[in-house]
Amino acid sequence: MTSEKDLLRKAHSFDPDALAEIYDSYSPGIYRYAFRLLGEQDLAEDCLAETLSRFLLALKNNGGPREHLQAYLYRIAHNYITDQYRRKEQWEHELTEAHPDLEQDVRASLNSRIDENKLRHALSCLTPDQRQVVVLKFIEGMDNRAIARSIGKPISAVKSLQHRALAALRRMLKNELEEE
Amino acid sequence: MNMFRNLPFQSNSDVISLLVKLQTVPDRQPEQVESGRRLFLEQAEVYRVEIARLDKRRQGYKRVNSFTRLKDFQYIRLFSTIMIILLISMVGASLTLAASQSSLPGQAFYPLKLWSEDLRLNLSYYSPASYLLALDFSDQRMREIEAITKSGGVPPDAVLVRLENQSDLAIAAALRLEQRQAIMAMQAIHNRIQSQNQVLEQLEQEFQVQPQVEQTLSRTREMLQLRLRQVEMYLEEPSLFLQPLPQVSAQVSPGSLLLQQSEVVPKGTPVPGNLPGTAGFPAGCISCTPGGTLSPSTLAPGSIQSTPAGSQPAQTTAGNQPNQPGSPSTGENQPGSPPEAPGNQPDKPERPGPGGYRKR
Repeated sequence: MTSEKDLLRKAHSFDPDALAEIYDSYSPGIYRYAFRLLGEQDLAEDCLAETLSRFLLALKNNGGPREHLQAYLYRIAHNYITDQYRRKEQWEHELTEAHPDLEQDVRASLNSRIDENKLRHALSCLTPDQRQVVVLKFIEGMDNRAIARSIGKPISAVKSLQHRALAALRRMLKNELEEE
Repeated sequence: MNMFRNLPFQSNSDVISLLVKLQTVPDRQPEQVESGRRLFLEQAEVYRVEIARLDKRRQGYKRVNSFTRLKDFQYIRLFSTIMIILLISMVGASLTLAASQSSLPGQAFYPLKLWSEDLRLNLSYYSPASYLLALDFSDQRMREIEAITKSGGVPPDAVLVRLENQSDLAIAAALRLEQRQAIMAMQAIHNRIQSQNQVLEQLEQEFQVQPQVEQTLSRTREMLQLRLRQVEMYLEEPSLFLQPLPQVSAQVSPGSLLLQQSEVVPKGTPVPGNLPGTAGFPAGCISCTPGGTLSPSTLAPGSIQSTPAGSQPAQTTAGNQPNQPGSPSTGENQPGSPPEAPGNQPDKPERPGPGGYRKR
């Protein structure tokens, strides 16, 4: 397997094999990240396509990363998701609980979906950095060093962002529960 | 079952346990993966082609640009080479010219020296100080004569002719000036010719020269005395020379100009010949006998203050008309003069003296 630097060097010359390897290696993680934050497959596919398209455009303009490709791609995806959050106020509860005739298992699945959307809504209320840190840490399972590279901040700042993000989430979810 | 209701949210771990639930992601559909991959690689191919085209254009521009620079460099090199050659040629010519200024007749650079003098005289024809230049060159001739004589040689006739021409050019240049400036110029010429005459006297006295050299020196002194006399005439009565002068080239002996000008003087006007000490020469003819016959021997030697004892009459006419009636013979009047006038020498070379009296 080619190292990341060699891969990026070949990618700068638009080597098809290197670009195919990049797609195969990094697209699943970007897709999962986008889906976890956006909650829909189509939106996640769009996010993945846009992220990789911006990456190619950067390579064409003789830009793009020389190292830490994964962090670079996550940063692009995160920016896209943030833009999506700002663009649409779709994190309203699309699914209501006013379906008394549904079967029990269907109802459970629906409740789970509603809870996930509430959680995503709470995530969307965080600042972009807090959201990214929380998602990368607790959903993607990355360590603090990798997160620091992704957001371009020191590890101490990552820890601080993580602490404040969790506190904010806890407060928002508690309020949500109390309102119910 | 709502999971929110099962959590108290007392600590961060409750939030984290909720977030972990988001890790569940449905698998991508294979056709979507394949489609996304294909689109990604197609876009990369498009960009690759565009970049390759741009690179080709940039390389072509660089090639053209570097070729232009190469051509420019070649032009600059050619221009520099030409300039260096010109500079070397000019420096060499200047050095040669400077070295030729001390050359003597018969030496390799002497023609170059004469050529440069002619050039400077022609270029300074309209300059008010051109008479000074001509005088400087006549001084140069004198130095050459002096050097050749001291070395035991005989000054060539060409040097004498040139000395005569340059003296005439100085007079002609002075006559082109306004009267006040012309008088000053004539005084300068007078002093210079006197000095040259004294140099010749000293040469004759200090060196026991060969008879041939002595004859040459005598001829030179006669010529100088004649010019001296012309200048004195002008200084005595400048109004006689008010007529505008025709242009005289460096090749024409302007000694005749004084005569030509004086010829147009109306009757009754005082003429040099009638001036005190000129012994009644015909109007304007400083070389003629009182009866109108051309003879430099009639120049009234006594009236020329600078004429030393033993000086010879003007050679050109003296040789042709040695015994004009009424003209005192210099040889007879001045004891100690050479037994025979230089003009009587059969091998005396023909030289272009003042054209005026030669024509007559």
